[in-house]
Amino acid sequence: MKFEEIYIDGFGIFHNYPIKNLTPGLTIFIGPNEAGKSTILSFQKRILFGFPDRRSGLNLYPPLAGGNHGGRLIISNADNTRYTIERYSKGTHNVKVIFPDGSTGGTTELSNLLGHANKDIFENIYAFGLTELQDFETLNSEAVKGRIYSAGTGIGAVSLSEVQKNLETEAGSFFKERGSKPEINAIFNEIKKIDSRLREIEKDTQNFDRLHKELEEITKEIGYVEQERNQIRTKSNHTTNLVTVWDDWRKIQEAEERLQKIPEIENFPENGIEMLERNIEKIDELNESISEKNERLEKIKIQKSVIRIDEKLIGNKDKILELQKGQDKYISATKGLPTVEETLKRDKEGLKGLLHEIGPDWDEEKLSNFDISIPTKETVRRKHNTLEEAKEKIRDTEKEVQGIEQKDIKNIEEEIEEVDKHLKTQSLQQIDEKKLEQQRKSLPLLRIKYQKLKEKEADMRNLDEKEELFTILKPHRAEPLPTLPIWPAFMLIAAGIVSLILSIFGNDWAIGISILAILSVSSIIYIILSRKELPTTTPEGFEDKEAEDLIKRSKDLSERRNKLESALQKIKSEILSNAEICDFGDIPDPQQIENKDSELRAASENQLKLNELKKQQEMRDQKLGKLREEANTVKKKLEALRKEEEKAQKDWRNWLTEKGLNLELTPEGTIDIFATIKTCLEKKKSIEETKARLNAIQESIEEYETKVSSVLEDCNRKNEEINVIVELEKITGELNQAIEDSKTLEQLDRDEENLKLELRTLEIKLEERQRTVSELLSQGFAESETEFRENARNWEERNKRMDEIIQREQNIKRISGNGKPYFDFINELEETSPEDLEEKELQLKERLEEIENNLSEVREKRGGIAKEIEQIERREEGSFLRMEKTVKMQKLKKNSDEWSILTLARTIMGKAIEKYEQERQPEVIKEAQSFFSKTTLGRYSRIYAPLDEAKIYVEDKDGRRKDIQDLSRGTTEQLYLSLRFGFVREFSKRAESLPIVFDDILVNFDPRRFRAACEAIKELTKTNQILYFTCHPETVDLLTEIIPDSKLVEIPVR
Amino acid sequence: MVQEFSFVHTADLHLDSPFKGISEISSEVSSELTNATFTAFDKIIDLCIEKQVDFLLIAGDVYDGADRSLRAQLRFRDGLKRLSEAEIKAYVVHGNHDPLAGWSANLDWPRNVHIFGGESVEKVSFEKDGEEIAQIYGISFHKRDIKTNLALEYPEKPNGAPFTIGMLHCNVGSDTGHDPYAPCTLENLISKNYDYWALGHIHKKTILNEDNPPIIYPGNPQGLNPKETGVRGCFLVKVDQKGDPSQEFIEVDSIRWFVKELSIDSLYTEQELITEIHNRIEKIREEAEGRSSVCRILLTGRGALHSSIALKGVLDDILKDLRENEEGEKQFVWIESIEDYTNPEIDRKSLLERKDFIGDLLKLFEEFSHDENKIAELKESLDPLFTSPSGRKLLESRDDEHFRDLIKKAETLCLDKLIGGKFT
Repeated sequence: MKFEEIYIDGFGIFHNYPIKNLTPGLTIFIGPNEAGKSTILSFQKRILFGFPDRRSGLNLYPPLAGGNHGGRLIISNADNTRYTIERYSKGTHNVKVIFPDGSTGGTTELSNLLGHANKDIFENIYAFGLTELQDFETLNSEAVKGRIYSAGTGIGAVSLSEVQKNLETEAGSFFKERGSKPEINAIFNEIKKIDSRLREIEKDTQNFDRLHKELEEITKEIGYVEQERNQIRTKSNHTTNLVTVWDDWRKIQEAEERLQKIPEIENFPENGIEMLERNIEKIDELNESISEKNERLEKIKIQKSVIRIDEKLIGNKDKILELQKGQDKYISATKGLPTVEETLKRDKEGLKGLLHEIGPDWDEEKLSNFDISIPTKETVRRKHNTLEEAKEKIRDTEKEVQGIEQKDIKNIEEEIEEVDKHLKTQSLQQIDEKKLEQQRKSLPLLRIKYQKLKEKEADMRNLDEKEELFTILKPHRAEPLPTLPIWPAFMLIAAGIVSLILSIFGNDWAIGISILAILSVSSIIYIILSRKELPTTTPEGFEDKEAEDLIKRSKDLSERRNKLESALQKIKSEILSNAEICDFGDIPDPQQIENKDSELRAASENQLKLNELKKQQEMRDQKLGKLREEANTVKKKLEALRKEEEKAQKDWRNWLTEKGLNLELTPEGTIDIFATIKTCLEKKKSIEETKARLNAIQESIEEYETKVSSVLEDCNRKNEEINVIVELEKITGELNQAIEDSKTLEQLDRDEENLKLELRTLEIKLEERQRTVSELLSQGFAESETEFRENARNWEERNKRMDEIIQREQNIKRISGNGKPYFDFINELEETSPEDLEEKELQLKERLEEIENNLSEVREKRGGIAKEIEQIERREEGSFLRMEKTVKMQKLKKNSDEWSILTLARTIMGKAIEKYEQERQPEVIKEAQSFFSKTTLGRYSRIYAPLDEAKIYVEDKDGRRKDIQDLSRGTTEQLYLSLRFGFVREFSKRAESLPIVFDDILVNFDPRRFRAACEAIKELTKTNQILYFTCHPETVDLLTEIIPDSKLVEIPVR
Repeated sequence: MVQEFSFVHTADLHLDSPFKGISEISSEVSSELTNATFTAFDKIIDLCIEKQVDFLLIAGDVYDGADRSLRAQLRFRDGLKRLSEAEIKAYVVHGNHDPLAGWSANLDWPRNVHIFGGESVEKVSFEKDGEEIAQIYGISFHKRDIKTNLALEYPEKPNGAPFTIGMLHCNVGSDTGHDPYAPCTLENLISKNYDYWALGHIHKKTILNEDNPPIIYPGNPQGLNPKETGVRGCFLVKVDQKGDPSQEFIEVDSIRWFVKELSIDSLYTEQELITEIHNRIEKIREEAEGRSSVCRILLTGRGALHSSIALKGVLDDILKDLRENEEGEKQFVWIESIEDYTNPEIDRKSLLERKDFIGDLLKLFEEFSHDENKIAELKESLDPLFTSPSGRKLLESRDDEHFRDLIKKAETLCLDKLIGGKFT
């Protein structure tokens, strides 16, 4: 099959891209990298074999430049029929085959067209890539050989020998006939182990039954042995018992013998001896006590007789005690008496003194009469205050007066003096004020007038000049014109005014105003007219006019002159009068004026000052006058105050007299006196108190003494003038003694009584005891104590023996049991001897030990068996192992399957290779050979592939055989290509051939080999269409050189 | 009118039998599987006690005598002991796997257990509160190979007899799927007029006859290999006062088998495949309803993934990862294996048509898989393994179908090796 045309609708960078000039031979696609050669190649494959699934991760070459994703190929088959194969990725994905007659077909038809070739075939057989050749570099020689070999098989870059080896290795990893590493081998071993362990376990489980049986038997045996042991044990125990009781048995015999010997006694009181002895003891005790008591009694009697008591003393007991109590008081009183007297004296004197202070004639009576109550005090104070106030006021007022007179008036007088002085100095300069005034008034006038004068004089001069001129010029024409009088105008105005006034009076002044207005206007008109008349003289001709003018003018001038002269005169006279005023003799000149001015100014200033001062003086005088008045007023006040004070003083004195105090006293003094009076009163009081105390003390002393002496008398001890206290002491002591004695006596009586009682009790007890003793004796069947004792002894012994017997019998019974067994025991004992018994005992014990040992052995054994059984029961290992084994078996199965598959694959693969070698390879080699010799330019002529060896050899032209590893790299490549070409040829014979695609495979060939390869390619084009993609222009050149009828398709960069 | 009563019918316990068909196992899974049969049995006992049934029927194959598992028997005894304490009776017939003549430990059975003898059909009476409520006929296998029709030896139900149950470990019909022990026909059984037939031997729960009488294979209560997928349990049968039985299937298995297919047709990447498998696993987890499960995943279809899957170790890695994910799960899904039944993308037919080496190779494969002689030749090529001493002992011989399967796989392998490149 050959490509005729390619049309890319939208694929990668291409859109609407046709490629038309494809030859059945070699078409070269030239374009730089990235131009899109691989795109075109992929496009071809995709159109032929389908688009990959979106998810496959392959480059989908989406239509980047637009268009529908896909396109079409126009192909022609062997008989030159053209078909269009169209495929788009959108839509149904299905391919459309368009037959020349327009009918369409789908996948099946395409498949037929392609000869059932698919993508793999295309790639493995018809596509030649650069990487294949480049791989040769990295492959080792074995791999290279493999490749070479496979090249002839058409399965692409897979090396058959490698695959075979792979399969073998993998199979080997599963199983090898010898060895333990492969998985299956390992599992075999493991299973073997598990089996053996299981067998062991099985053995154990077999043991289970056996062990059970053993267990039973042993248990039985144990039973017997135990039984025997128990029996012997019983026997042994029995014997031991007998031995034990032997002693008792003997003792019983003995005791019975003894018993015989002791006399019988019916009965005997319990603890007889004891009781007897106790009682006797007690009797002795009692006797002792009795005698002791009697002794004591005697003593008391003696004591009693000794005591004697004074009754009287005791009678006065209370009194004496009382006096005793009061003793201290008495003593202190007597001691204190003088002190109190002293105090009294002092106080009295003190009082006297104080009274004196108050006043010489003051005595107590007065004192008591005096009222020093608070209101009185207040009165005093008030009066005092009044006085004080008055005094103060007086003082103040005096001060005031002083102040005024001394100070103020004086000051002002001083001032006035000063100023007067000042004025006097000034007065020299006193000027007549009036005159000054006048002068001052006149001076400015002077000035002005002077000015005017000068002006007028100037005017005069001017006028003179003008007149002169005029005189020269003017003709003398001067007519005096009559002038109209002005007085009518004034009459009009006056009339107007009058009327106005009238109208105002008549309250209708609007009319008045209007009349006035009219009249004034008319007066004005009149004036104007009158004036005007003057100039309107006769209008004569020019010259006349001029002459008139001149005439007028000169008239003017002379008038003026006159005026001026009069004015001047006036001014001068004025000036003169003024100058006179100013004391100028004549008309002064400006300088003089000025000087005068300043003079005047100064003078007026002085004048002013003076005036000022005068004024001040006046003022002061006024003030002085006022002050004097004031002083007088104050003095009057003072007088009044003084009078008041006097009154208050009088008042005070009156009061003093009333109170009987010294008239000289001041109120303060009076208050002091109050204090003193108070003190006096207090003192008086204390004096009285002291007096009273003194009395009391004296009284008590007397009383006391009286009491003491009465008591003494009563007790017959009265003595003359002896110290009270001492006597009291004595008597008190005696009293105490007496009291004590009486107490003692009482006590002795009591003791006597008690002793008598006790004595009685003891005697009674004694009798009792004695009774008891005699009873005891009779109980003990004894007449005397000695008998009694003997009886006691016998009784005891008897009892002891009997007890012994009973006890030993008990012992025996305890072991033997009561009743018959006991008697059996006794019988046995009677029949045997201790030695026998002991021997028997020993024997039995030995036997027992033996049995015990046996028993424990057997028990142990049984325990062991039980444990074994338990272990077996518990063992789960079996389950686990079985499970494991099953698992391993399954794994084994799987692995064996795997191994089988691998082996089968290898086997069949081998067969396929064989077949290939037999059927296909020869042809392939034949074809390859011709390519090979062409490309090696005859250097190598033959290729060999011996059967049963997956190898290829070459033979050079000299007939030498060479292994592939002996070839150079370049030759290897050539061989490889040749084989592939060979295969293509061979394949094309059997199946539909497709176009061959070279992807720049010759790029690394040197020029010589390149040519050689081109030769091969050329050869190939005879049978197959070849599309060669390259980016190297040199390649293109060479190719086109060697294969001239090749076509070029340029793919520019977009 | 009779008293009501109820009983549980189970069979084929296969206590302590290992799981078959697992090629790899982790230790935790292993322990769970070893205990699975016991757990199921315990659950049956629990069920009996909970429902306070009157007796339990066990129709054979309690354990595999060939295993000689003491543990199995001890556990069996313990379970029966529990029933005895709860005053529930147990009636046992033995089957081909646990024949009376086979090995069993010398154990004492609890009072409540009656094991039917192997000489002839025995009859036992079941009494409740002094009244005879049911009669049970049964016979055990005295040896493993019982090929006779034991059903014929059962007497017909006499008139006036109470509810009659027949227990038998047998193979009804000529079901070639099972070992032909004690073969009989359905008619044999129905003709006896019994009220209930408690059968055993077929591991898949089968109700041969719905009622009049119910003839039931309860199936094994715990699936033990990939062929025994689905729910497993026992039957709880209640008999009302009129004497009509009604049976209810109760699930008691603790580990369930699943075999799932997964097509790679629409999958492109390994990741997609793994995700899909995960999804399947989760589905399985759901279906297992709280139980742990063992599953085998079969990859089918053809697609681009085939070549990546076919690479050595790829599936193993995937498997390893998936198993690691399950580690620590209480309710685990143990993936026993992922089997590759996928084909390469390329259509085989078109490959055959090719004229190149591939085409030749395939043609050769065709030849070899259809020619008897060639097959024999191929089998010979496998002798090194299968005739090795261990191989002979441990490996099963390959049957033809399996062998053809292997050849197919070999072909796929070759194709993978030779073709494999991607589209460019």
